[in-house]
Amino acid sequence: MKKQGVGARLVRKEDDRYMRGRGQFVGDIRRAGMKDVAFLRSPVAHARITSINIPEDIQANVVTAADMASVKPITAVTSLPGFKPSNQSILAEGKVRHVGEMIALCIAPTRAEAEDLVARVEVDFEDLPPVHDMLQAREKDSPLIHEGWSDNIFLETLVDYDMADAEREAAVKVSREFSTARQCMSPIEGRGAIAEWDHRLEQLTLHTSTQMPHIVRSGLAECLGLDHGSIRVVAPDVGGGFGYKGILLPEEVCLAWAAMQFGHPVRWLEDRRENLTASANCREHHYVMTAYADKDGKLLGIDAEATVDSGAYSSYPFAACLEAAQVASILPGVYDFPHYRCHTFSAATNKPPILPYRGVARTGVCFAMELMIDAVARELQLEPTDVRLKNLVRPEQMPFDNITHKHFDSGDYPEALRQAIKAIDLKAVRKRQKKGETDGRLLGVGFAMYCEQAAHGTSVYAGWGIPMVPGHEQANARLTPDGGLELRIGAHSHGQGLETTLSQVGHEVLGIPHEKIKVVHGDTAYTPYSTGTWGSRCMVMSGGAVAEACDQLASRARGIAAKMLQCKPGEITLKDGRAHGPSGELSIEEVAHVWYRRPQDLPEDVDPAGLEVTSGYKPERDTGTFSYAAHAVTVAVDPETGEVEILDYVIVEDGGVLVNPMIVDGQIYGGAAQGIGTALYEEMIFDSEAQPLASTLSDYLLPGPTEVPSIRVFHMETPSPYTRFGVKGIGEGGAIAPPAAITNAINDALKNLGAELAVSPVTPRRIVEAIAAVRRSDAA
Amino acid sequence: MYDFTYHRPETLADAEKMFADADDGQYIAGGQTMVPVMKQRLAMPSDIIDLERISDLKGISRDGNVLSIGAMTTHAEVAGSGDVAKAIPALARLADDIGDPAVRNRGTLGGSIANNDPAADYPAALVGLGATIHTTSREIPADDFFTGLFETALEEGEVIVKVSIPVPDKAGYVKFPQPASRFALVGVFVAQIGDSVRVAATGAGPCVFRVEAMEKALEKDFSASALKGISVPGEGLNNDIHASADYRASLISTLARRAVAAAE
Repeated sequence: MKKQGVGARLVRKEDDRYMRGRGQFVGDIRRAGMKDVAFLRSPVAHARITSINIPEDIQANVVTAADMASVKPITAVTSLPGFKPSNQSILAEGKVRHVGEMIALCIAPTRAEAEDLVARVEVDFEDLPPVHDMLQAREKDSPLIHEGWSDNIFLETLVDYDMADAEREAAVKVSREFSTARQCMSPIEGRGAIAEWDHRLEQLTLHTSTQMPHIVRSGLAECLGLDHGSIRVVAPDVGGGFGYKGILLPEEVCLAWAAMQFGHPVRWLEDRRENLTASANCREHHYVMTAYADKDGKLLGIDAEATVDSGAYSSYPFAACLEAAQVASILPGVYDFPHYRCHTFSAATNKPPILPYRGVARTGVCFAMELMIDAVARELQLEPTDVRLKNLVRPEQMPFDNITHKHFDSGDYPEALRQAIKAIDLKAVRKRQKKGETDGRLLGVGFAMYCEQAAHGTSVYAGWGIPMVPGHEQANARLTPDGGLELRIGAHSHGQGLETTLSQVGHEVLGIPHEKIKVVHGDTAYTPYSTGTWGSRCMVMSGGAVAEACDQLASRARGIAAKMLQCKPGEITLKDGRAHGPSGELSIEEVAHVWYRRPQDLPEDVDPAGLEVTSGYKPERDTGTFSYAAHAVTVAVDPETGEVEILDYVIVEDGGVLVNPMIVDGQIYGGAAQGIGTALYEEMIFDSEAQPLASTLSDYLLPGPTEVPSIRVFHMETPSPYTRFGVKGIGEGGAIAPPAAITNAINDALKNLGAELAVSPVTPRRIVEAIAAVRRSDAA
Repeated sequence: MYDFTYHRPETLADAEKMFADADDGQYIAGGQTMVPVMKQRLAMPSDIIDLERISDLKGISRDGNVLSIGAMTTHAEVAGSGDVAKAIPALARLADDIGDPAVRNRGTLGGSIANNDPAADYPAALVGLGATIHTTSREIPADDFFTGLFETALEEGEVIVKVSIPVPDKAGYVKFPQPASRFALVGVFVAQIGDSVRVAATGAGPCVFRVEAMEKALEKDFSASALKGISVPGEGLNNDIHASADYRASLISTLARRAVAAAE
C-alpha cells in the first residue's frame, strides 16, 4: 500500500469538491421561508444617537436595540489586573463608537430590498470628538471612548528584567520608532450566517462561517440566556478564516435573536464593504525601542514601549488586550539576552475592534525586533546575519526558558539561519551590490527570524483568564460496521486540510486505508466540545486527540479480535488494517462486522465498551510547541519611483515532524503571500474623523499572483519532545516574517543613501519620501 | 442595482431616438464603469442603451498619416491591431496594459474617454498625440475635450463616433500603475510630431494635462537628459491614500524621462 500515514504527501481529500465548485458554504444554503438581513451601520465614528426614525410601514421589519433589551452585550473580560471591560451592545445603544457599528437590522425577502429598508431609516446623531489614533488615545486630555473609564486604556502592563544594568554596561545604544498599519483580513468568503428555530427540537440552529462552532455556541448561550442544549452551531465549508472568523460576532447574536422573534429563517451575508470598513481590522502596533549591545553586537538588553490600537470593543473570546499582552512576552523572539523591559498599552480608539490575524502579535513583534537587529548591525557596521548568529538561542541550550519564561521546546535556530544564508547566497548578493545594477535600481538583501508558540494550552490561557481556556482537546473515533473509520473533532478546518491530515493520523495508528476514513467536523451536534481552530493548534491538539482515541479504539478492536482468534488481546498486533494473532488473522472490517452485525459469534464475556471512543489529549507540556524559521529575501528598489521587486525569497523552517509536507508547503506559501501584503501593500487608513478610507478592494491593496514570487521553502524537522509524533504547529508562521525580512532588504538597498524605513507597509511613496527626507537634511 | 429597460439598437439613429424617448436614459459602452456604478446604486437610469451592436462605431483604419479608431473598439482590439502597432506602438502597448483581460475585452476607447476617469490611460494618449474626437454632432480637439474630473465637452446625448490620431514620429508612454486597479497612479505620454512635442500626464491631477515646460525642452532636444531639472509643482495634484501630491509630482518627472527614453 502506498504510504498514507504521517509524513505522506497526500493530495487533499477536500480539494475534489472545492476544485469542482461543489463546496457548501453558508451562501450555498437555502432554507424554506428564509429572508435576508441588511444592517444599518453607523456612518460616524463617535456620536450619541439622539433618535432613530423608522417609517411606519416598515416598522415590523426593522429591529433596534430597544427591541433587544433582553439580550446581553458582548463582554470579553480577562483576569489580568487592571483590565477595563467594555460592553458591546449587539445593536448600538445610545452611542456609536466606530464607523460600521450596527444600529438596526432590516429584514426583507432579498438583500437588495433589505438595503432599501436600511436607506429609509433615519438616525440623528450628536457628534462626539473621535479618537482616530492610538497615541492620541493615550493623551491625558483625549476624549473618552467609554464613559466611566478614567482613560482609554484597556490594559497597561510592565515587565522589567533589570534593564538598568544593560544601560550601564552597553557600548552602543540604538533607538528606533516602528509602526505597522491597521490591516483588514480578507478571506475569499466573507462572514455569513443563517439562523433558524426548530420547533420540534426547540433548538436554534445557526449555520455560520466560523472557525470555532463550540465557542460561538457558548457565546450565544451567554448573550441570549439559552441552554447550550437549545443551540446547534454548524460551520459548513468555510472559505478562509485567518482569525477573522475566530470570534463571536454581534451579527450572529442578532440573527439568532431575530430567527426566534420572527419565526422564519434569516440570513446575512457580509459584503466586501462591510468586511473592510466595519469588521476585519487587525495588526496595528506602535513601538518605541532601544537596543543595548556590546561593540561586537552581542545584545545586552531591549527596552520597549509598545502600543496596540485595540479599537472600540473587547471581542469575544480573545479580548482586547491579547495582542499587547503577547507582545510583552514574545518580543525577545529567537534571541538570548540578559535584560529586558517592556511597557505595553492596549489603547481604545473609535475604530472597529482589533481581531487576531494569522501570526497574532508575532508579525508586529518580528517587524520591530528584526528591524532593530539590522539597525544595531548598521550602527556597528556588522553583517546583520553575524549579529543574529551572536544572539540566537543555541541548540545546546534547548529546551530553553527565555527571559520572559517562554519554554522553547527544541530546534537549531543558527542552523536555520545558516541554511538561509546559503540558499539566498549572501556572498554573491554582496558582490553584485558592489558592482551595481545597470538599470539604476538598488539591490538589497534582508533576513528575519521568528519562533512561533503554537498549540499552547491551559497553563498559558488560564493566566490570561479570557472567556475561553483550552483544556484537553477531544476527538471521537468510531469504527463503522464495514470497517471504516469516522473521526469527529470539535475544531474546524477552513483551509487547513484537516480532513486529510487527521485521516493520515488515523491511518498511522489503525492502518485503515485513507479512503475509508471520514473526518466529521464543524457541527456542535456531531462533535465533542473544542475551543476551535486558532493558534496553529489543530495538528498538535486534534491530531493528538485523534491518535489517542484511535489507540484506545485499537485496544478495543484487539480485544474483540482476541475473542475471535481465541488468544489474549496482548497477543494481537494491528498492522496494515489487519489484526494478527498467533494462529490466524482478521481484517478490521471483519472485527467491526462481527461486533455490529453478528454479535451471536462473540462470547458473552466480550468487553461491552464497543468500537467507539471519545478521548481527550494534551501534550506532555502544554506551554506550546515552538516552530521557527529564517526568511531571506533579495529585492531591487527603484529609488526614483519607490517600486520594489522581490527577486528571490527563501524560507528555512522547522515545524517538527510534518504530517503532510505538501500541506505544510501550502500553508507557508499562503502565509508568506499574506506577509508580503503586510510588508508592501495592505493598509486601512483612517482619517482624523476615524473614517476608514479604503472601502473597496481597489483601494485596499492585496497582493495578487503577479506580486507574489516563487518562494523556495526548505524544511528542517526537529521533533517536539512533548507532542504525539513530534509535530509542531506551523499554520501561522508564513505570515510572520515577510514584513521584517522585506523591510530589512529594502533598508539594506537604501543603506548607502542613508534612508531607512520603519513603517509598514513600505509603499513606493514612503520609500521616495524617505530618500527625499535624507536629501533635504543633507542639503540643510 | 435597480430595474431598468435595456435597449440594444443596431444604428446610431435608433440609439439617439431611444435616448430621446427615455425618462432618464444612459448610453452604455463596455460597462466597465457604468455597471459597478449602477450596482452601487450611484446611478439609477430608467433606460440603458447599449451601443455594442452599432457597426458604425467600430473598427480601426489608417489613412495616410491619420489613424482612426471607432468609439466601440475594445482595448483588446486596439492592443491586437497590426495597424496600431505599426503606426503608434506606444498606443498598442498602452491598450494592452489597461486593467486585466476581462476589462480589456469589454472596455472601449469611447467609453473610457467619455467617462474621463482622472487616472485612465487613454486621455493621456489622445492629448499627448493631439487627437481629434468625432461625435454625432462635431469634431473636438483632445485638448478641449477633457474638461475636468469626470467631465468632458460632450453635451447631453452626444455620442462619440471615433477618434482620429495623427501618426507621430515617435511616442512613448510609461505609467506607474496602482497595484489593485492598474489605473495610472501617474502616467506620462510623450509624442514628437515634426518639430512639435506633446507631454501629457494622467493620474496626477483631476484631469489629464500637458506639461509645457517639458514640451519646450524636448522640442529643442528630444532626449531624457533634456528634462533634467524640470519638475512639476505638487500643488493642485491629487492627494489620496495611494499617493501624495508631491510623490505624484516626482513621478511625473521620472516617468516623463522614461517615456522619452522608451519613445519609438
